[in-house]
Amino acid sequence: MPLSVSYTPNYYSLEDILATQERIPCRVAQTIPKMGHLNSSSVDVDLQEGTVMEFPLWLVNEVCVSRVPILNPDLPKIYKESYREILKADACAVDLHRLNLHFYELGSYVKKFDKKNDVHQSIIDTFRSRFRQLINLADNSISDPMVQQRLDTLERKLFNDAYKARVKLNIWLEHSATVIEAANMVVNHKKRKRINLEELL
Amino acid sequence: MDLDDTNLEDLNDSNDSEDYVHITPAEVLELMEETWVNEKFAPEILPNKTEVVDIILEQIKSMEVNIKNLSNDDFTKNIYQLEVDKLRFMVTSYLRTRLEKIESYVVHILKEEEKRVEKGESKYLSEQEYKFAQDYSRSMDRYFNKIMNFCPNLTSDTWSSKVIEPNNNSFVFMKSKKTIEGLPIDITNADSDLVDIKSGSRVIICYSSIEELVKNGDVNLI
Amino acid sequence: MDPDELEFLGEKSKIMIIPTFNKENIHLISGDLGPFRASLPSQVPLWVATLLKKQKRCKIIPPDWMNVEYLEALKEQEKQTSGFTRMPSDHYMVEAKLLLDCAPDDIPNADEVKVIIKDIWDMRMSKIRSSVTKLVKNSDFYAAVDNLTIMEINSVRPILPHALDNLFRMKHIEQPKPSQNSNVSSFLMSKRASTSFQLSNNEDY
Repeated sequence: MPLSVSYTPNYYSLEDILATQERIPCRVAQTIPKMGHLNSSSVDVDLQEGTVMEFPLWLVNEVCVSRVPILNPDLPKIYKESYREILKADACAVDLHRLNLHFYELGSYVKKFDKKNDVHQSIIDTFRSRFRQLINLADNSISDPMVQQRLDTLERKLFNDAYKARVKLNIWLEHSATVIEAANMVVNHKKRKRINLEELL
Repeated sequence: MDLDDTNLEDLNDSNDSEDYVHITPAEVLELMEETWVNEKFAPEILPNKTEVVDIILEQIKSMEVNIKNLSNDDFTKNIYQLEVDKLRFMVTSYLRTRLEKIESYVVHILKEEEKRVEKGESKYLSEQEYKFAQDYSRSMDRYFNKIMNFCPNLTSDTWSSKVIEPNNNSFVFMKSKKTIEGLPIDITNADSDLVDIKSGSRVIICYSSIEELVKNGDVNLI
Repeated sequence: MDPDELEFLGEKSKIMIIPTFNKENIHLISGDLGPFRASLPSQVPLWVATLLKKQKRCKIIPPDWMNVEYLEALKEQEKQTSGFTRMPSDHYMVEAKLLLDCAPDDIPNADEVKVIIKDIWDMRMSKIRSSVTKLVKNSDFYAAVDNLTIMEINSVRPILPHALDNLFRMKHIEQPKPSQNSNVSSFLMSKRASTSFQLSNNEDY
């Protein structure tokens, strides 16, 4: 049985790489020579100061650490106040999956671009509010399969792990037979469940 | 069927030769079980309990000799065999869990071991585990060196500095063997709330708060 | 942990049996059993009891609590309190499952016993679910679970510890460091972007 660990970002983590691949709206803080081609709507050779365009998070992180910033990053719109208000009103109703696949991870990175520091609390509150839905889902007490579609990647991993554990427990509780039958049953049951799970996702 | 007691004395010697306490096989079993469950739930690799494992393996070995001598008509043979199988399962599961941790966090573990050696502390890995970890780490390096050829700028320093560490701020369930007072529930925070845990009490708590207590045996993970 | 592994831990509970055989001591590593005298009660670990029962070499004496009267009272108590009642055994589910499975003939009203235990379990499961939800809602990073049995604790694994892990992590990324993957990026960029940024100060590209 593999180690049961929760998601923690690390250098080799695909999820972390994907999350840092997301695009961040930035304002170019100083003209960048010979980079004009990055802005397809301009024919300039240089990327002009004041241009507003999107850059991937890993690049933004890299160039924002310098003393004289080259880019001024802004919050992606899904973390801005209007969206925060929607999440505050009813976090469970929001399709996080559509907002961003890596809603919490990206949020944890971009919250430093938020000068008022409201994003920090907002993503924590969103996670907390949506947890009830997650645990009910894992216990099979929600029948609406659409709910599952609305989870972000972090929630999905939690759900999948919880759901697998729940299935194992149910098999243990329900099963009472001799050893040989047990082995067969476990194998079949697992297979069937796995297919179900994939269909649902 | 007399059980071999000599190894049990070894265990006592290695723990504390001054303070001799007779320890029964049943007590070693208890220890093994605690060790197994602790290892299962601790995010990091724990100090090895080779002395306990060795005693269990000795017991299994001598029991298996005895089982061979039993007649097949003796229905108690099944019982002896089942106990041996159960013990074997537990020891195997324990060792496998440690191997999985070594494979997941090999660079981190070897670095920590180095620090321990420098400080004159004993290693967490057993001798064989340490050798396995070194071999494993070397194989990884060789593999990376081979496949990363196409990136001449990317030297082995690049990835060996990217260490995957266990998340010691993981939440665990524990049972206390004694009363613990003033335990911070968040050691990353200097103003953390403190809690008292009564002996026998069960709680869910951040592993980093109880790391030392798990290692010195004051609490068990459950 | 898998439920099977918890069953493994619960199997060492001591159970009284009435053997149908005579036998001197059995010297297990975990301690001596017996001597066994036909029709004289004797105490053995649960796994030995189920093995002997399957071989039809003993009758099981159900644990004190495994009867309709006691369990009905326990169920009532569980219903009355908002917290959790202390269970008669830390491994009540394992004991119930194994004994009801292999020795229903030795347990009076086995079917009824089974139903009540299931009721108690279900009641506790639903309480556990609401406490877990509340715990995460408040993001409490500490909680006592004194009266929960091992199997019940395991039923909230991994969802509760993992949810708290994530909350704890999100909470502690106060001043985020540059991306973990930034060195990859600097490498990938080194031939293009970052060198060209330096060029803004001196020579041509």
